[in-house]
Amino acid sequence: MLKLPDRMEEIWLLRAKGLREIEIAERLGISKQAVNKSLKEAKAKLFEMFLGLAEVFGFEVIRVNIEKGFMVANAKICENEKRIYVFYVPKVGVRAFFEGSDFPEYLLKHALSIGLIKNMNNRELIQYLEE
Amino acid sequence: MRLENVSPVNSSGIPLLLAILGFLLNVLGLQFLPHPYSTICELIGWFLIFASWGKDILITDTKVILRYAFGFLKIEIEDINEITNLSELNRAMLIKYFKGEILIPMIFISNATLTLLNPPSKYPQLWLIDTVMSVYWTAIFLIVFVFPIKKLKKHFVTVVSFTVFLLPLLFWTFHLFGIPFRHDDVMFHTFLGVIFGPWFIWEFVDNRKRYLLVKSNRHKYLLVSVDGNTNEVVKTLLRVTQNAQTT
Repeated sequence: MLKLPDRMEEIWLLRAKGLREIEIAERLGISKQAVNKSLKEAKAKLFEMFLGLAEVFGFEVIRVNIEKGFMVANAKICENEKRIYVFYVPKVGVRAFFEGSDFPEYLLKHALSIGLIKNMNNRELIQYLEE
Repeated sequence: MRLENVSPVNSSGIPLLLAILGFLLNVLGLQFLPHPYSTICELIGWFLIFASWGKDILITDTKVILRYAFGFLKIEIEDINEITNLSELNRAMLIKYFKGEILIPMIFISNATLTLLNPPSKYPQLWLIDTVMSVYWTAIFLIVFVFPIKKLKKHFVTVVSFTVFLLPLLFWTFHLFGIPFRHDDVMFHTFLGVIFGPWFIWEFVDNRKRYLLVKSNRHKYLLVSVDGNTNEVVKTLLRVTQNAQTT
């Protein structure tokens, strides 16, 4: 499964919520260097996951944001191009959604918690991803 | 290795400062200095504007280096967090990412105001042309930075139509106020202003060009991919960034 190790995921999530490295270190009782190293590894793994997906499925990559853990891409399906939104969701892993489909509640909650949106709203999330 | 068909744009940091300084020198020279100092000032201004232009992009296994100022200014991008093909997003506006760019239309509008406040005794037609061109250029810049890149094509048609309409309007104004307009300088200024307006917008509308945003922890950079496979460029940048995180 495409998922970060638990501790790494916890550190990445705190960073995605906007905490600075020093604040994460204080909260988790570890050194700033350990946080920095863990974040670097998390970023490398997320880049690898998104790039891997794009290569395997032949997506055209439009946007990749590692700090917040999402990718916007175009997928070719039967000669038609369709927008696809890929997210890394803690404890769930990588999930992809086609344009026009409703995002599940757990994804909207996650987007709200990391500040992508201010309300649990499908349209607001799409708007954020497209601007 | 040189990244083919991609170059950086002077939209942030030192290159943007060079461009702003270049435009400022042009305006200051034009408004406050006597000949030949004004010409020297304008030449330095244009030199700075050209120097702010991005030359090319070099990549290694773990580094992305942007080269500006004829290759003399090198900026290394560290800690990339985001790579975006702005030309493919439905609502991406340049102003959201590059707020400093707004200083350039502000220089144009200041020039228009200063020109209006100081009507010359000689060549009133030049005075009018400079004011109109400054307002015209402010509008062009705002169109490019405020509207989503993907929707600029629609506005390109509007700008071309407006430009075609602007020329007879200017000459009709001269006629109305009895200002003689058969002067080489007038034709030259009008020609430059009007030609560069649609050309500037075309730079963002041209289907062969794709604008890429690269966001690091501290800065944002704009790249333009020309005639190339933008998807491959994005993937190459992703690979370099991934390698940089593992070293």
